[in-house]
Amino acid sequence: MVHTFQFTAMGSPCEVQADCDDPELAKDLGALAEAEARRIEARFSRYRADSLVGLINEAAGVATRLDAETAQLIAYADACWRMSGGLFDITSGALRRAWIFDGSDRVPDAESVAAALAHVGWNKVGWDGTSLTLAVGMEIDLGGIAKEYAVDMALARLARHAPGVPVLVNFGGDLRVSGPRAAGERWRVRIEGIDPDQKPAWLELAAGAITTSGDARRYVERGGRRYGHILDPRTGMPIMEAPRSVTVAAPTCVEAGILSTLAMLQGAGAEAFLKSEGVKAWVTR
Amino acid sequence: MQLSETKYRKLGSIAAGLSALSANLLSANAAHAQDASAPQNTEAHLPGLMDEPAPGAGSVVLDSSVLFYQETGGRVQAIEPVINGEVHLDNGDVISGGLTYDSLTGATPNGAAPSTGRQTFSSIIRQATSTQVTSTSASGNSTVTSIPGTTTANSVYTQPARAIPLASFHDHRVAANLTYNWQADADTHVKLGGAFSVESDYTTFTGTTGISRDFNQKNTTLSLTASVEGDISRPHGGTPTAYENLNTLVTGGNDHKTVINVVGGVTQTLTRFWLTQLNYNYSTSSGYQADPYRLISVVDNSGAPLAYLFESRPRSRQRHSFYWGNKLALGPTVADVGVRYYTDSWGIKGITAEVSEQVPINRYLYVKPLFRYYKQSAANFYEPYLISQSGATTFSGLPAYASSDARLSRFSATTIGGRIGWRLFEDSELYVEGESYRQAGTHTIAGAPGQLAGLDFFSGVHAISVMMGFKIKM
Repeated sequence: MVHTFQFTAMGSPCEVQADCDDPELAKDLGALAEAEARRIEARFSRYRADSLVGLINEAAGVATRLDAETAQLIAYADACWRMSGGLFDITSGALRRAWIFDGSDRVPDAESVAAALAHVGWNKVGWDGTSLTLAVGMEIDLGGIAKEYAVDMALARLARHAPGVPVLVNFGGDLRVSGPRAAGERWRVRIEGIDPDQKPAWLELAAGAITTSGDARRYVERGGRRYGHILDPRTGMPIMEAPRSVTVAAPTCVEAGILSTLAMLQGAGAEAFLKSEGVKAWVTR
Repeated sequence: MQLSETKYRKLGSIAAGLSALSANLLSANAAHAQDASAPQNTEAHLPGLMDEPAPGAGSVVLDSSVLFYQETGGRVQAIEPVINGEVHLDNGDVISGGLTYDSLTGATPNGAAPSTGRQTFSSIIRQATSTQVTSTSASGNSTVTSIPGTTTANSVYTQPARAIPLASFHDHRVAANLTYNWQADADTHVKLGGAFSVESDYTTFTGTTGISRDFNQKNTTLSLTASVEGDISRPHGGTPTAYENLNTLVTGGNDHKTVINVVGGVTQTLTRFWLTQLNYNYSTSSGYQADPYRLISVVDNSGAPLAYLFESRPRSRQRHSFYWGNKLALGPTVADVGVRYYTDSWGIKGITAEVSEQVPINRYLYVKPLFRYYKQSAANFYEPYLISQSGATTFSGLPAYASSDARLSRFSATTIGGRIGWRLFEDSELYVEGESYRQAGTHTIAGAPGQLAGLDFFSGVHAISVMMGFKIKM
């Protein structure tokens, strides 16, 4: 039977489901996954000044030597930046200084967008594979990777602790399963509606990961135009005609996460992008 | 919630690239989840789980396999269990090592030419103790008869007519190696390693050092590796001198060889789908390079054997080889295409072409077919036999060097093989490799004297090998 263990981490409701007969083991697995989520949150959260990411942002202008795990994550982000032609950029957080998506009509003027944009661009950082140097005013945000990475790491940790026990790890809607359930059936997963008025949808999966990007509630509207919260790090402007949400299935959570983010960044071209990448995906408009 | 699903098909370039990147990221950091320090706000009822012992500071990869090798026609048989391991330390350094054991049995050509009659190979060998009476014992396929009043014995074996004469053997080998690969900085690796291999009659020690450096955002890698090898040859019965007659008591002791090997290479990522590598390898060896058991026939004008002499080879050899290899990602498959050109101071020129392609069947299964072609010219002292005009028992006018070793002859070889890999769990793989190796070369020798005309001299092999292995990352 499936035991569920719930907690809140990384600002999201999290849960671990284990398909086994031992409730104590299920509890242990849940606690292990929670420990992993908290470890990664403590290291990579932008909101915690004492996290590694907080320290890197604090040390703008000075080279920070990274430990192996952080270096791997940064290298991954670096590769994604290059692969996406600059669309995926962990330095884009500085644009939030210009844009505040609260449903109001506050669209920033061109000067403030340009001022924020001056502090954005992965090509402006110093990165040699071990040390990272941010220019003053720049910041990095691993929010686009860390939660997905935490899911993959937690799943690996559970697999080592209890090999063969089917588990589902779901951190705030980014989830991955170890494989089919004990009797071979698929996991039934509830994908929450992005809009409050939407009904949740159910997906079934037997392997791999699913992530969802999008938050239709965050926008500003002016002159009849709705500016969504997905910002293009190259122009500093919102991506127009971005889907309300994109859900992507991929073997690992980090892959799914990047693909769903990149799809959102394609705006009107999201479906075409997902199609050309050949990934299984669901798009809400 | 309205969902519109996109269709499933072949992965696009970004998805395919991400797949490899993610696998890399997750496997590289698999250890971090394990050695996580206990977070402050951990549930109190779980102290035991939090300090679960980590298997090591970083990840450990173990690869063990067993190779079965068999030459058709009852020639060489070998069983070779191997275990290799890699320890990836948190600071980027890697310690790798391996252990190999070989057990070889069977028969190899002794070097003598075939003949229309039966051939008897008689040698004088030392015996441990002096015996006054005649005793006979079998050693391999030979009969050993003590020579009364001496500490020597006569060892005799007979080979059938028209066949390539063979000598049987049985040997073991134990080999081990250890390398420390030090990450000097983000782009520079320095390695230092040692290896040895011990057989009952041959010992090798090797020391290796190398440096590699990445440039151009790790798209270019230059590497330089140098090694020094020292070999000790301790043939059973001593080291024969060049052209010493088989039917004499060999008095030579052990002999040595030193090899210095240098490899320089450049690896370049040309596109995301194409990695190319160029290597140049120079090696120079000096010392005893002959096979201490290998004979060469001296025949008269009618082709009849007059004597069997131990072979003679130069004491130095310089080798050059140039290698160009490519790794190509073609959709979900990965192809390896390589060519090698080889030349040495003994006059051998060889070329190797190899193609293999790894094809995933599904997430858990892949196949990797392989094809290799090799062709070489003969060494300038390769002789299937020597002809003596005089017909005497001592021979004058022999060339300085002569060997009938088929490996020094002109031949070509084709290898067809493949590998099937099966991912059992997240981090382990079971694999089976099979290869069929077939040599092709000269069978009859044009202008061979008398009875040798029309005899089949081809001693090339057809070998089948099967290897089963298991690889696990911890």
